[in-house]
Amino acid sequence: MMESETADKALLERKVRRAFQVLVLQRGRNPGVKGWEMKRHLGREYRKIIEVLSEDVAPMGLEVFEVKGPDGTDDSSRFLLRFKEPPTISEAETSGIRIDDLAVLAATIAFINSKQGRVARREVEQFLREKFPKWRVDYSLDRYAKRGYLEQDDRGMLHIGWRTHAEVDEKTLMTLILSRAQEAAKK
Amino acid sequence: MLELAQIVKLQDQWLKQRASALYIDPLLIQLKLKLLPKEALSEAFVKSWHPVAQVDQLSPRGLEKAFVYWRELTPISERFKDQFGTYGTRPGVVDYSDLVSLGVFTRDEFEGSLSQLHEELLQKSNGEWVDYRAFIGDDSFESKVRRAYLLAFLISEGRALLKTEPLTGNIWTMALAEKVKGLPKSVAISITGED
Repeated sequence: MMESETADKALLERKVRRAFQVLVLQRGRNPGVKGWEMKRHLGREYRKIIEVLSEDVAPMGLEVFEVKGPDGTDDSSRFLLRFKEPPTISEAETSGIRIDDLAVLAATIAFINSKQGRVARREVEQFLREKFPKWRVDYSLDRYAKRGYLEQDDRGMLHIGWRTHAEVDEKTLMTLILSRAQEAAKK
Repeated sequence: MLELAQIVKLQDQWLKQRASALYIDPLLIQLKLKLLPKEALSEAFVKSWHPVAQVDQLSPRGLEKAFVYWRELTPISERFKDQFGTYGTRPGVVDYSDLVSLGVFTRDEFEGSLSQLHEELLQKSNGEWVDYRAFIGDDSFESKVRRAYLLAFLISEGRALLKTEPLTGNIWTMALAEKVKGLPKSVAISITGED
């Protein structure tokens, strides 16, 4: 009985370690691992392994996050290892990201969400140019589309990209923008 | 039936969006975004941001692909030879004698073409300025370049005049019945296939 429990525990630990390795090493162009790949690496019970891993990485400030795929199936879900809590402003700055670029992305996400999740790129550009120089708008939109934060379809419509769903708490973002704007208006 | 299903799907999406906390009046959010300084916008983003933690590494497969790519990559001096010919010759000036030696013109043809173009310009301008691009414009790019080249000779010889309007970008030309003498000025005019 004891031997069986020990073997199960060792197997679980091995699978959790494997899950961590699979998640932390980028394989393709985009980060994260699809549900079907997880199943291949960890077996049918991969969700339980992910739960254990998520608890294990919590003390390091990380969590395993699931982004649902377009068809909502388990296989199409994407699993990622991400920061449990947002970084501080200085941490974000030291990672080499420009404040202006983040401001463009924040404004774009909020603008797209207010337009029911999709809007013509031309309209976004027109709006952003009131606040940012043209070259930065063009450069940032292209860059964020390439990195998966935004998606542009063949009709020139911009959507929220899978990476935004994975990394950004959109409700918090919208709430913060609204509350900060009220503070700015009072000043 | 399919169209009806699509309408129901779109209505469903619309209702979900409106019911979610993400729905805010577009005009309101635009106003708020305009009010906020860039720093506050980026701060709002960072406070709602959970960056992905990952390790970027080069796998043995990636290394192999890079090696094969590099091995099979044609040297830059050879890469565009098919499309653009060899490198090493800088842009230069082709004068009349070069064209004659290249067989583009014979001396008689050249003189004849110059006179013909001068006569055509004389008739079209009739003492008035005519649009340069309209005058050289023709069906083919080759013909356009040929007429522009010949016209440049007429202008250099003082048998035609050229006037440019920097503000509008318009270029005008006019034929002269008699040669004029004066201090010539150089004008660069680009001619493309679209003009």
